[in-house]
Amino acid sequence: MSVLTTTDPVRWIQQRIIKRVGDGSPITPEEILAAMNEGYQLACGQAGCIEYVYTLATADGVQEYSLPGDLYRTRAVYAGGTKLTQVWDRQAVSGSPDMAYYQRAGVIGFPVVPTTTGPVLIRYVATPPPLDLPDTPDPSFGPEWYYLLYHYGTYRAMAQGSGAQDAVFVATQRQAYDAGVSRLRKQVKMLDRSQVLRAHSPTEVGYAR
Amino acid sequence: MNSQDDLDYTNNAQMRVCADALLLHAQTTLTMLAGENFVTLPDDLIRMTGISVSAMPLPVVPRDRAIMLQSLPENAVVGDQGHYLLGRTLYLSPTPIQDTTITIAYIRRPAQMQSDDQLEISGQAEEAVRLRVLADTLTDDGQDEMAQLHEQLYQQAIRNVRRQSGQLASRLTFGSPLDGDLA
Repeated sequence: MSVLTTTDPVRWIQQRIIKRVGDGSPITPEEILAAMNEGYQLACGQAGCIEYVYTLATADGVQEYSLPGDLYRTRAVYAGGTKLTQVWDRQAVSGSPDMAYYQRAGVIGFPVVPTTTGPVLIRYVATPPPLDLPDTPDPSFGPEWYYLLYHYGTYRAMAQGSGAQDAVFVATQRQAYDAGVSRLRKQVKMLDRSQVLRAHSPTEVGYAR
Repeated sequence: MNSQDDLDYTNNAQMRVCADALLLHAQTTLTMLAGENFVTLPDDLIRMTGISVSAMPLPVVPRDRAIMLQSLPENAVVGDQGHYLLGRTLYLSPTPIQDTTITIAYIRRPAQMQSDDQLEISGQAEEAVRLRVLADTLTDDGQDEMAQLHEQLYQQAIRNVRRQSGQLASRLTFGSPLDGDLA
């Protein structure tokens, strides 16, 4: 007898959701995958589990630059050995610091137009690329968190395709997803502070050592 | 449940139990080449429990300060060496000027199972795997009340496993992974 290996995780979760919502559901497998991806990207963005530093080379006289395409939110911007202040206007106004930046729709800019070239480091939370059936989620979103894709996918599929009799189950799935994302955020913070064992587990069993 | 389903549910349950109860410990060395300041953490890492260079604990450095230094035109070598994390990347600050071997201790995920594998865990943890499988399969079958009951039993089993393993875990404090028996 040949040795079996596990089913690709995304495919397996999609199969579980299809089984749960039933063959008669108007939701297609493609829509379920899209819902799972929405839950995946939202969870990673909100929890901040994928984080990078992007090096931007400024040029003399150029005020605005494109941000990385996978940016979910900016954590901080650094230049010249300083952490820059975020301002809300592209115009330098009286009292605004020299070392400042603003941000809008995929663009970062500097109220005081750079006159020298130099590295600007942008620390940001990234959105992972969408998953296809053979893919494996980012290692930051490890197998112990895959259950979030099930909760979100089931929530979206059943919210669209089922009646009032499933309303409680649908609400429960959404609650479970939100609670899980909150725990993932805490886990990321613990990894940040590194090496502290007294952290929240993926299922939050409420055990205090 | 056929053999493939059995394997998939069991593999998923073992992953959950090991992460929920922080059961499996590992230690590895990572090498950072001269002039490089980062290395990717192992894929099976759930949480780091210790880090050292040449058997000396490596302290955490404030991340903001470390990245600010990187933004200077010259690669400034300032301060004592330390580390910080961004996502799953481990950084050293300041950037080492020679090859550096780092030892990390961490809590790991189990390996993906194959059908002829045994579980990596036993005792109460194995019972928690069984309860996790039941909670998941009952949910998928639409038996929500029974699934909820097994979810509660699973939570209780995890509390018991953590309590049982707590004595070892409490010895794993921040510092050198070479302190104490982590195997």
